[in-house]
Amino acid sequence: MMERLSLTLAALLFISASWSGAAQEKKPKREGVISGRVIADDGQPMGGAQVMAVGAGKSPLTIPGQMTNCDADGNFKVTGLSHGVYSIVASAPGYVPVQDQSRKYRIGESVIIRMARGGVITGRVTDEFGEPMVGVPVAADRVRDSEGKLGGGAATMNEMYSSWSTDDRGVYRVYGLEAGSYVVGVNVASPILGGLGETSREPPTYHPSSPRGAAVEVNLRGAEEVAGVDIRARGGRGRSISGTVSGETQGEGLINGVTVTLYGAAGKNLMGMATLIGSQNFSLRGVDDGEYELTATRFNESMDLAISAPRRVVVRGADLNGIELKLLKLGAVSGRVVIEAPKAECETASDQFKVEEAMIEMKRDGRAPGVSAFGFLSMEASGFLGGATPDKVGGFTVKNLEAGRYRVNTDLPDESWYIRAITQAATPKPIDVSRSGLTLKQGEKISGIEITIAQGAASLSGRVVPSREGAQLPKRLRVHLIPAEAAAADDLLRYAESPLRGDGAFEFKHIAPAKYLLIARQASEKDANDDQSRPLAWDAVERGKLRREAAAAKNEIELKVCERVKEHVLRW
Amino acid sequence: MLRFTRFQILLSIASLFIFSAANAQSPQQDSRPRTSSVSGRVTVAGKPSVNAKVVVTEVKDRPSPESQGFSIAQTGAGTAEDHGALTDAEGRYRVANLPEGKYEAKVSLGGHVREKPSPNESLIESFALGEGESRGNVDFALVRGGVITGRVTDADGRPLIARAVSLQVVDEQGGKTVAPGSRNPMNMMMGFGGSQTDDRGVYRIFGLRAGRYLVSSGGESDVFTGAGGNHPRAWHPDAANENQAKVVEVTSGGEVTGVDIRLGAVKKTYEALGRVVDDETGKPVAGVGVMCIKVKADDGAAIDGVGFGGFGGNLKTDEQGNFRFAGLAPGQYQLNLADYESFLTGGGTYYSDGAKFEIHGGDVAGVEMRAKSGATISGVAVIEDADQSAKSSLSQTMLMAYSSPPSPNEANENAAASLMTPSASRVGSDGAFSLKGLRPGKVTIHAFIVTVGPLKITRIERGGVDMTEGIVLTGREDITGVRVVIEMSKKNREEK
Repeated sequence: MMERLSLTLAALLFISASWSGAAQEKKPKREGVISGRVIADDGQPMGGAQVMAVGAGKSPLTIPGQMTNCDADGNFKVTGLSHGVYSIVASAPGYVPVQDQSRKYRIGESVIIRMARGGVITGRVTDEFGEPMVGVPVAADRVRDSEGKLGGGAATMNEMYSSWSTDDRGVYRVYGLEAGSYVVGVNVASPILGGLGETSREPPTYHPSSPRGAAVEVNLRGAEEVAGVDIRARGGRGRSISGTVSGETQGEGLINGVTVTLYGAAGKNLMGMATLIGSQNFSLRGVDDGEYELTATRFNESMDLAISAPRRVVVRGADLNGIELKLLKLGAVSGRVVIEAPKAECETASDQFKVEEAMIEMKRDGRAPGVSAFGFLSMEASGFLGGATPDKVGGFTVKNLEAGRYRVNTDLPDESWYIRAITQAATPKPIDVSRSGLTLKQGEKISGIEITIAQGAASLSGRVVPSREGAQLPKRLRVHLIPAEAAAADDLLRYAESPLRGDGAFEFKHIAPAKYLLIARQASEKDANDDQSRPLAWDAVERGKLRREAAAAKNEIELKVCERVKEHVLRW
Repeated sequence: MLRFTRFQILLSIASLFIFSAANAQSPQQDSRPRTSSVSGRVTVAGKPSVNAKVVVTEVKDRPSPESQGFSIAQTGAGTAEDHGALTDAEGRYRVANLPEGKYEAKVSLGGHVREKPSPNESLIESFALGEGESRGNVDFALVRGGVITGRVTDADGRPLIARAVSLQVVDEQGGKTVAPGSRNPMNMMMGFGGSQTDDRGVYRIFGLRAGRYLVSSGGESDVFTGAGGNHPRAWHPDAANENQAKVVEVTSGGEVTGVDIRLGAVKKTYEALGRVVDDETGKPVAGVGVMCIKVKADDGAAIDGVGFGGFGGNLKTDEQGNFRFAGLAPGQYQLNLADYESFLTGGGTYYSDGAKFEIHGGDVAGVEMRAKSGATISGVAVIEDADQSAKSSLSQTMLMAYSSPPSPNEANENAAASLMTPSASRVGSDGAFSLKGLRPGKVTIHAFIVTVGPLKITRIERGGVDMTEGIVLTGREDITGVRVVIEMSKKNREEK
């Protein structure tokens, strides 16, 4: 009988993993399809590639994505999707995605996904006596992307979590890697098994035979093979860090678990991980001497998280016991999205989109202090943390928000939609939060946010061209759209910025029809390389500067209701 | 090994809880005297093995020892205390200062196997220690295992990546059995056991006992790897069935190379269209889950004797009650109603006897599955325990009900399917539960807490009548007032 129960759980697990994204309502009004094709960079169809559509802003555990396989011609069709916002992710062993996978799709859209052969790192693992280590997992962590940027975006997920085992000769071969720099090691904490794999007492050893801090990086330029990345384990026993987790350990739901993650204080690398099931005590083993940050995160199936403040610990020659981590509640922002009756009908059939297809994100205004407490989950941030899609009547809740100042970001399906106002219910009159942003205290729940979508949006696309014939455009150029009238100087909804593509092209969509000033401006190197960078206009001082520069440049443009301005030329 | 996609990561977060559920171990603050010891010797081909690592771990009672697919969690829940030792120049090890208990000693010499004729094929020895006992001769007589390596390619000679390769042992009478660890669905799903090809199509299976083997790839073995492609299964070198397969002879410590497998042309796949209708009204049922399972390969052979050859897909019916499964290779399929959002949120009110269809050389249309309104069993679950804190566990408890079909034959035929469509209900903080959509038959109820594991039900009663042995349903009854008494064992309580 136990076996039967286990089998059932396993089966159910699989079902929920591949379950249709059709959302909570029992009878979705209309079901839809996202179709497309997966092709290799040489244009060959990727028959048999796996494609998954995951509803954005939904817990992947209670509403998992829908999975399908490509046919021999690389075509796929994900059916049975309700109105919503989806991420489409393709995977094929040995291949890596070529473009950014964070783009969101709605039903009816068609997707072309390009993939390329990944790189290979191979070598041999021996123990401290020089004997091959057999059947041990080897982890290749990408520490730098191909442009040398530290860490990596969501696209590095596969590599972050890749794990391969050595064979009887101690030989491993990690393949399907994206270009970038890697550290390769054994006895490394693996988020896949999150404390379930053999938690070794031996500290991790990285190629060639070093602790993480002294690991030699392996540089992979593309679909190449780097051989001889041997690892000689250092052996010995590391220290242990143990303690208790208190506070909000129990959330709603059947599944409650707490994961304790250990990060290196210097490089913010994941150094260890333990998952507590039915226990408040944690113990991390195989820890080298050094400075670390410890964080606890509570999960449950609906992804109601609780986190602890990162705790700095120093390990010096002895075990560390009695560390206490207190889980704190996270904040939430809820409200309603209202679509105003159209004053102007654009030619696009705007009524085909539903409010459920708007994506609401709470974007942090300002830098998060220290390590993101979400630990390894931050990789999936765009998927289900910090974002939500409204229900049929426009109601939304963005949960799992840490204390801090936030601004509302949207991803709108309809080109004729724009955000006209964002307010918070208050007496005697609603507060305009598009200007001030929202400040959340720890665990605070803010409600009554109203996001008003108006119709008749304009869009503007074009190119920046050098004013001198044959001159080169500088790097990191961005085009800014600034409201022309002084009364809108602090209306952040009216500001927009667009990075330039390689050919100098820029694009603005969902723009309120009005007069604007246009200016191209070089972003600082720091901002351009920063994942957490925020629009320039969010900062009052920068905004003032931007306005002055734009006024001096005098590139005024009027965007009329529903107007689609194309091939606009901006001189630099 | 298997590549994990980012969504498998999320899946693994879920599985982490479930796997651990059965294996959660709390670090013990025990006061048992540490007066026992264990010792033994490790030899390879009769010679002492020097500096071999032996790890001795205390074994806690495991709720589901028979489900080998869960071995991944059993290798260590992280907090179990283990004791390591290195063998000396004579190959001897000794671990002292152990409290009494049940133990496992594992030698970390991967790639090695037990010297025949030891019946134990693993590198683990189980033993118990009494208080003050000094146990000796927990020995490991090993030899280097054999290796089979080769390359898996398609019909055009292109390497096939991340394909499962499986082994069959050919015994002296010529009988063939699946090698242990190979072709176990859970193992394949998690990428453990068996072997997979790398980016060059190369596989390497090591740690084999001397013997005769058949090596195959393709076919149903790729159900979980996401490799897709639906190549028919082929045996080394390019045999379409095991009778034509070339036997690979492995000697102790020997390496057999060039055991290549060339798979045939990709099977053409087809689609099946159909709809779900209400059994009584004949009207289409929209928005219900339909699960498609392959039960037989196209050669008619049941798959590994369990009637399960992979998932054809899961989807929801559209507004007209229609469903469409694409990418189906030839074979026999079984449809079942899976009328729940996910197993975490409980079930719907329908059940179904399912529907079958076969894919031969074309698409199939008009498959109809009839959804029947099932019976309901509702009532309260109570935890019998004086400790008030145990009662707070109710809201995390889940009940699951299975109906055993009236005839055992039917049970075999639908074994896999019926296992996957139990009725589930969460238990409210007041103990209330409602198991809906139950099919006729004898219903047995099980309780578990996801993070703890199965709970023991001591009694099921209704109006003073004992129903612990099962509740027999004949149709669409609505049975209320059922009392399910759950025992919260001390162990469960501690682990909560």
